Amino acid sequence: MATLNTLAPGEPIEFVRLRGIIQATEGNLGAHLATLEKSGYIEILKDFLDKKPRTRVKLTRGGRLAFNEHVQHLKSLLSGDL
Amino acid sequence: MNNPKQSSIGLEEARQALNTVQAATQRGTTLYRYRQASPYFLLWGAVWALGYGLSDLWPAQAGWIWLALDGTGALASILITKADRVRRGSGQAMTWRIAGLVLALLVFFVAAFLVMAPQTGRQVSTFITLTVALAYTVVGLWAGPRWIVAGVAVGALSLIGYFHIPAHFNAWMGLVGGGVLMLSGVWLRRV
Repeated sequence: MATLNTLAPGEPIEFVRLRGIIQATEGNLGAHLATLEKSGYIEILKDFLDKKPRTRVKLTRGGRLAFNEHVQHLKSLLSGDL
Repeated sequence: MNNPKQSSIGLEEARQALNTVQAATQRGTTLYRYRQASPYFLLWGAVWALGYGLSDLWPAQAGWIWLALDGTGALASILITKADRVRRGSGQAMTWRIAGLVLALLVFFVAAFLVMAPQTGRQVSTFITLTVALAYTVVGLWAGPRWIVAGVAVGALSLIGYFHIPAHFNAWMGLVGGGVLMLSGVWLRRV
């Protein structure tokens, strides 16, 4: 989600590129994304580009909010605010 | 991801999680910027290859060739920025920045040549190329090492061409300078 959060709001990233960036296996990333999609944090877009199937992943508004809250929570823990 | 408000984790775990997030954010941001820069490298690599190649064939027309190609390149850069803006749904700020950058560079080079009064086209070309190389290297200090590699390569190759291959400088710069920029553009697209 940290990688998706670096994209502009609403901007998708191709599954293959995301896999390369986070250096995960296809199965591992797929399972992880399925969980995040079920929670409503990401959206998985499937279409065809030049007759080839393409899978893209997009962080939802709720996902971005939840992620930023999570990071804030971690920072607060470390700074002793919690 | 669980609801962060309900999570209860230790300090060490929180520190590790935050480090992971920061590392992923940094890597994602760097690669995102690389990808954004890639089309400009490809475009200007092609402009250089064409400009130097045509200047080598028709040296007397070099001024007009570069004027036409630089104008086309500047316009294409603005269009790429605009297309990217529409795709991402962001504001007009970047389009104006690119237009401003083109104008600033134009004014800078005209002023620099008025002051320094270069004697040959090779001096003009090398100065412009070295300025571009410096800009890439400086940007790379913030935006990632691939910019630095491109900047150093372009700068070094233009100096080699200037000092060691003066008779075929334009052909050298078209092939190697333009080639390096285009290869950098392809490299920037890769993860």
